[in-house]
Amino acid sequence: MYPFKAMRRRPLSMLIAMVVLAWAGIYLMLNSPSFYDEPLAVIINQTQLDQEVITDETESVDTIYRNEINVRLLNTAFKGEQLTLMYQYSDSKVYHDALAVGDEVFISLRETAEGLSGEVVDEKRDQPVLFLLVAFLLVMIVIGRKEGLFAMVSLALNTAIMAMLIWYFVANEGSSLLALMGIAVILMTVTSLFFVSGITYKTWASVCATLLGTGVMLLISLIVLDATHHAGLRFEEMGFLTRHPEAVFTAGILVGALGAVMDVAVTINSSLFSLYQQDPTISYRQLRKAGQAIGEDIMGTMTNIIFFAYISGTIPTLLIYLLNDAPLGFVLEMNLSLELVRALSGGIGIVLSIPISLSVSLLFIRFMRKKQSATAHEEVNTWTH
Amino acid sequence: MDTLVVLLIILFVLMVLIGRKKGFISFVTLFINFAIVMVTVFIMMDDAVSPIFVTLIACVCISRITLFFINGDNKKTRVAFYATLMTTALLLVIIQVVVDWTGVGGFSTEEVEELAIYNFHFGVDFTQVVSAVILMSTIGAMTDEAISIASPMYEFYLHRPTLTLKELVELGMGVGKDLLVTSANTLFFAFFGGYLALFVRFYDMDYSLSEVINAKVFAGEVVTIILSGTGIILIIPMTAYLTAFVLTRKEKDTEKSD
Repeated sequence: MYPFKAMRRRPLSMLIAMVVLAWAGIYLMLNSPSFYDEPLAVIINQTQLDQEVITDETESVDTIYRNEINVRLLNTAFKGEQLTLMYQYSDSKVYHDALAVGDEVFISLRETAEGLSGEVVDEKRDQPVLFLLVAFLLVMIVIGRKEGLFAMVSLALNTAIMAMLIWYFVANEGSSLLALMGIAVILMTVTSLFFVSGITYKTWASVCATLLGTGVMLLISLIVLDATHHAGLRFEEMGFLTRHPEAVFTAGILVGALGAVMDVAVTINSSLFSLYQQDPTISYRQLRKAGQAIGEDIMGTMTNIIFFAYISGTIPTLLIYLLNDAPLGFVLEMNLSLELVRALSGGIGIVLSIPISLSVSLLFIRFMRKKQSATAHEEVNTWTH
Repeated sequence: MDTLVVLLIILFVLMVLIGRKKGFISFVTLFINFAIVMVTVFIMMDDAVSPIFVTLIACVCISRITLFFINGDNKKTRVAFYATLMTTALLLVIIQVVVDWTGVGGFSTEEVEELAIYNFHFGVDFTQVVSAVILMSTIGAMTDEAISIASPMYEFYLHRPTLTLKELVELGMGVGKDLLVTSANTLFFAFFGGYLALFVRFYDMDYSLSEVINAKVFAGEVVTIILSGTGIILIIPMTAYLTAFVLTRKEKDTEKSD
């Protein structure tokens, strides 16, 4: 009986305790090497073989270190065996980090006539990442309380929705990623908004405005992409590609702008609905004016958010191209054009959502007012009879 | 015509039509911010300069221009600016510790494959570059939140000057809590949309679950989302306390002068 009582009295601390317990369980599981199919090894010794100083005309700019590392295998059939690997890294840490004795690494394992050999594939990152994820979850719950928890739950749900639909896309040849992401957008809008603010007219208004906003944005982007025949865009330079680039790209535009459009819709709807609730006799002209003012206020910062979220990711590749003396125009076209299309389309979505949200809110308020006056009428009628 | 030019014209027309004067200013601000990012990249090319330091300066400029251009130079924007500045400095320390600990600095295996023909060794520290990128991707959201919290706190204080520091902080935290969810959503979907191709690739190339979560590119993505989230959480108490402090302190000053 006692734990249930405590749960009712202190749901927050109970929840935190549960999260920490679950985390500890997964953390321990990730601590056991047999959990992984890939060969995992721990570094027991490291010796530097040589180092190469790279100079640029007069000054030294970078140093490449070639190390020999001894590792002990932690899993697979060769568990406990030791082998020697070559490992190379540089001061600029472009690809590999410096490793230390005691670090765990995934290695590729080959059986040759002379015995085992292999290479370092990747560092083991899952435990620190999981630790951060849980720490973040706890901070969200402590600071955001119920809303913070709901936000995290809806983020988890959205990730699951995306993962499932992408899986469906890969498993079914001929399915359209854009159409599937369209379904994802509808599902994710509904889960995000209803989770955060419950089933109310306000939420319905936000859902309608968000879907309309993203829909119109996608339509405009598709028409422009088609009409200009992608002039100046380098789809083949898109990262991580295994599929037809354009399909993946347009689906990315749709998903990427969803959060920002939702933000605009919720901001405008919440303000207009609360104005209406404060003063149910408020005129449509006043509401429209208030909505317009809010829209003007959020337009600049919202487009900025999207802009930085997209553009800053290109900085490392831009740097590599520029350092290799590639001509500026070429660098921008290769690296920035697609991200700029994303940012501009997102911006168009944000700006368009302002009048769309405003109109949808007014429509819903009109409907609520009608319904209210109808019930008021009925009440008057029953009283007089 | 060039796709980018057409989209740029559409965005400009829409911003001016819907946002009028403020829309025009917002459009110009976007352009200036783009120029700042480009200049930052060019300065980063010099290996004698720390990428972190350049980015910090860039963030100061970006936050200042965004706030003062779009919202005007007043007490509200000044408080929001200092709150952003302090949070940026704090976040930068956290980012560097976390990036170092999780080993997500530099390029991933997938990216290195694509850049194979290029030389990487110029002495520019790419772990620092990655930290700088994470900071920059969240500066827009932090600036937005700071002004969105400071602004209603000022309005409330104007209507009810008897509010105490504690009440004001509570008010600011309440506003911030509402913003937190939508801001987190905005960033989350933007990152997700940008990495859609990567997720398709994970399925296509048959990555195992442990390969996915240990891959630098995936861990880096999760770390970026968490650190941006940390930024938009940290800015809430920072702005709430700073604004409340400035508002109540000013009252004491006027009392003294009376």
